[in-house]
Amino acid sequence: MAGARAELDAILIGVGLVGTMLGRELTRAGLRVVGLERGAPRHTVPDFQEPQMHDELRYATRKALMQDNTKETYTFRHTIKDTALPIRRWASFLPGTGLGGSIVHWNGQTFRFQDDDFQQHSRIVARYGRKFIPDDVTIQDWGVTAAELEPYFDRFEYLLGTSGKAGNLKGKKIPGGNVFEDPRSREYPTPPQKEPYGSAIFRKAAEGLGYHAYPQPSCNLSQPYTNPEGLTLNTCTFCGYCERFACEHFAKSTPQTILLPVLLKDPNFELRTGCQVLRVNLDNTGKTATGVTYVDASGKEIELRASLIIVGAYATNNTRLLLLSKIGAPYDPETGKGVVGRNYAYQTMSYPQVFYDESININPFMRSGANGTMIADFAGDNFDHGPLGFIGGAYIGEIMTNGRPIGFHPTPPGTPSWGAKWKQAVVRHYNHTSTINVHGSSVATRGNYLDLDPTYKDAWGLPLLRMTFDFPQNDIRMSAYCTRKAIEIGKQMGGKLVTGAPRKGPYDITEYQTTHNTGGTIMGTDPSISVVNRYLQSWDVSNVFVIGASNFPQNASYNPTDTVGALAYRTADAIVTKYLKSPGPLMNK
Amino acid sequence: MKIAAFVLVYVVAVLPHTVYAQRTNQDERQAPPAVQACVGCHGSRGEGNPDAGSPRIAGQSAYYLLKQLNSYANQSRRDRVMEPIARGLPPEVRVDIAAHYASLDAPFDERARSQRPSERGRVLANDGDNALGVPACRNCHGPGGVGEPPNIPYIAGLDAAYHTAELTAWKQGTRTNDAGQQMFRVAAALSAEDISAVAQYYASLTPPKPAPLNLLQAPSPPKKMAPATTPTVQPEGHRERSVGVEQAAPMKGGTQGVGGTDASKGSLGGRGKDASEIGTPNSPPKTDGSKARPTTSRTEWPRLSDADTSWVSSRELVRGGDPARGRAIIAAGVHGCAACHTIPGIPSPNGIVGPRLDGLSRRGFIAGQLPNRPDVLVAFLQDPPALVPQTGMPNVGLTGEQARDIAAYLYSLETSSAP
Repeated sequence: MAGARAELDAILIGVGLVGTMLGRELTRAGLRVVGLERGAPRHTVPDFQEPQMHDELRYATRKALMQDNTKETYTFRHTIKDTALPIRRWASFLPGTGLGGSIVHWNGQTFRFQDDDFQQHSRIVARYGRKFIPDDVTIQDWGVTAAELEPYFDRFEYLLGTSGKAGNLKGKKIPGGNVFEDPRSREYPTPPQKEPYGSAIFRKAAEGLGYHAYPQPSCNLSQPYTNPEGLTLNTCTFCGYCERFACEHFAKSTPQTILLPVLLKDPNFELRTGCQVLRVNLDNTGKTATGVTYVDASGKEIELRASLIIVGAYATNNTRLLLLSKIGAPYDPETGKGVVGRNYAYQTMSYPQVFYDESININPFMRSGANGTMIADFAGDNFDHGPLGFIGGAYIGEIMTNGRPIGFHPTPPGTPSWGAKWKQAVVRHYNHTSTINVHGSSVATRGNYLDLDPTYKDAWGLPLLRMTFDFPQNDIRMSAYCTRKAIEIGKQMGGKLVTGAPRKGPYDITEYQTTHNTGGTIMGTDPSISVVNRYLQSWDVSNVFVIGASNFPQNASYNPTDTVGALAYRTADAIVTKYLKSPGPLMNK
Repeated sequence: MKIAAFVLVYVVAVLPHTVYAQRTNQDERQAPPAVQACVGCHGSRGEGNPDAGSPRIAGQSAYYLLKQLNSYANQSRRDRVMEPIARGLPPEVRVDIAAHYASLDAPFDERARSQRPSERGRVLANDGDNALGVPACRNCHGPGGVGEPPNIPYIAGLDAAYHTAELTAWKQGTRTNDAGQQMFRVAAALSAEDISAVAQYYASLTPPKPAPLNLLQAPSPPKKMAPATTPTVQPEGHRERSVGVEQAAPMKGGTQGVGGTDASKGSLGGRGKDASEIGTPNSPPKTDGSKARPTTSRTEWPRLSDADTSWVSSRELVRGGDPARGRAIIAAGVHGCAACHTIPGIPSPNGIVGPRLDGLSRRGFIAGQLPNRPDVLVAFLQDPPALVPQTGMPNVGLTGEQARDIAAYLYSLETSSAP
């Protein structure tokens, strides 16, 4: 037990990306920190090595790196009128578990959200008028700006070693990068990855239509890179085993490659794995956390006390933990009151495909998880929504993460789904198909939210998180428009056949879309509509900080990780420079 | 139509390889004259000559061999002997030589086999080193160092002195002909002792046979893009129900778990037999000795707060287990327990593959990750990989009753005082 240690300053709940970053910043500030990780300890050597790491059946199909949903899962329903049922098998999204967290199995797609995203509500109102926002849409401002976050984005990307090309350096637009991005203070730490053939075809087509093509920023590195923590990453080998897998080459930026080895050597830090946190404990005022209660791997229940709690679990689990700990008022969709669980959002995806004749060899197996060419012309508010009647957008790109043998079988519509004809079609099309990724935003609505399930419990007897979600009409309209734009590009790519349909409801929990679950513990400046303040500090319990994509008031067109990392560094900064000097609320209610 | 399509595929895809194969087989009998430049050191069959520091090149891919010749010519790989030879060979002759040696299958000289493969070398080759940031050699060079032609060479059976010299060249930056700098990074992190250990290890392994002929060719130049034809666009609203989607890679079949992706088979959120109540994990463990695999009992372990997890009472909890019978089952040797484990009360072989089993009841975990509880141990013994997929412990075919007896015996073992 913790009894051997005299005084503990901080507890990390979850030792993934957020936990590792906060652990490093807090121990560096002299705090004694314990990191509680529910999963197993794991490292690039020996745990991620081949040949076992390329076991597609085990990792992609059976999802070996994911949260064990025989012990803990979520229940799901489309609307408050339905009865939610447990998700028995992960499909739509894949929450990870284990040391390093979900980012161990990420693709490495590394985007900064734009200023329009952070101030979405006020920008939409200013540009299109208040009536432009549909009644059921509850988008709101984050309470931070892109300019405020820039130093933290910069620091995070230099920790990761991100490979990319700037499109806006200190206000100067640079063709070939993302010209829609907000000013960045310097170039990416490493140049973009090589452009695959299919992406080159996309670039030509998109530029021919007048769009601004640029290489997707990648955390599968284009060259060796030593980060400010002194850790060196290798060059990606384009093996095509990123998403759902861990990287065996030290080439993907994950806690194991960018930070953990440094943190684990720090005498102020102690890692405890196999520790399932049940709740954050509060004192009798309910306004101060005293520590946490967790169950260790042998089943013993242990109370651990500390003066600062960092909640850095997977986004949806952050929400659940606050609900189980009774921190903040649970959101009620009927009245719109309460905050915890509010504004759950997702991502609105569609995937047109371009089928070429056999002279075009795409070699889909020769990719990384973030290796393609894309445009942001239809992302966020980068285009005029006035005549279109919806909010948000999508980035569009020829981004293929893999051509793995079990999973990747592109066939045109009308192909039988099994048998000799199917096999023939797979052989015909496997190497001659491009997929276009339409990565769309997700507005928050009044009816999409998270709460505790009244029926189903986990292996520790605690209520499961209940997810109520369906695609808002706004996002279906957005997807129809952006998918049409993607198909127009696809037609210019020289294929014999372009297929694809926009995202439509109902949301299908059995089809993989993305692991970008956001909201539930959203940030803001108004405690009546946010769970944490702009420093990610709980409005209700000031020594609890909650960090993750759960802070997003709604989800943008881009992938979330870069923004999570920037928010985490900003919060670490606020804790070290402000909170530790004078513990208490960093913002007045 | 179908036949016509097949013929077309054959002509386009298969025939060139056949032609090439014939040509190569001919070459095997009739080596290009320029090979005379090579045989002095590398041998007429590409077997190499360790005494001259010349590596075995038989059966390396033509792509790889050609790349090395070109590298010597442009000095991205340095060697006093090879540089002038490579520069003197016209490009088309380099192609012929590469194809020739790629087709050869020289016998491996057992005298060249390293007699002292080091344990450190084996670990670096197969696991890597986390602290050094070195991934396993076999990630790229394949299990047993057999390579991944065409672009990744085999390293099994290479002479240790040659291999050491090359790794040192990567480390010192005199060999720079890998675009991603992977070899530079790996070699730079290794000490001279590590390099020698890896080289000794691979010198103890047998090189592979030549790669299939269709892999021997250097990559063909990219073909011109086909002219755009009229694309047909699927009407909106079209939705293929059985398509699972990896991010940016729609796909069919199998990927969404057992039972495939056929949405007609189940409703949202759960389907099939496994829809047992996750919220009620209180049914007792199935350890009744039946033939049922214990995999599904994972969800049926007693709730942790219900189980007495202290080690003292563990042995009592193996209900019906007989320690004496358990010991007899292990001692009989049929299941091979002692081949991997050292178990008090069981005569040799005292294996060192798995952990010692004395004092098992005092340990926190089984296989490093499962809670050490009697019901879990009994389930684990019956099918270890079902509970811990990464475990090296195989399913040795124990019945539930045998597993209970063995568990009872193992929990009776005290910590040994022996080192």
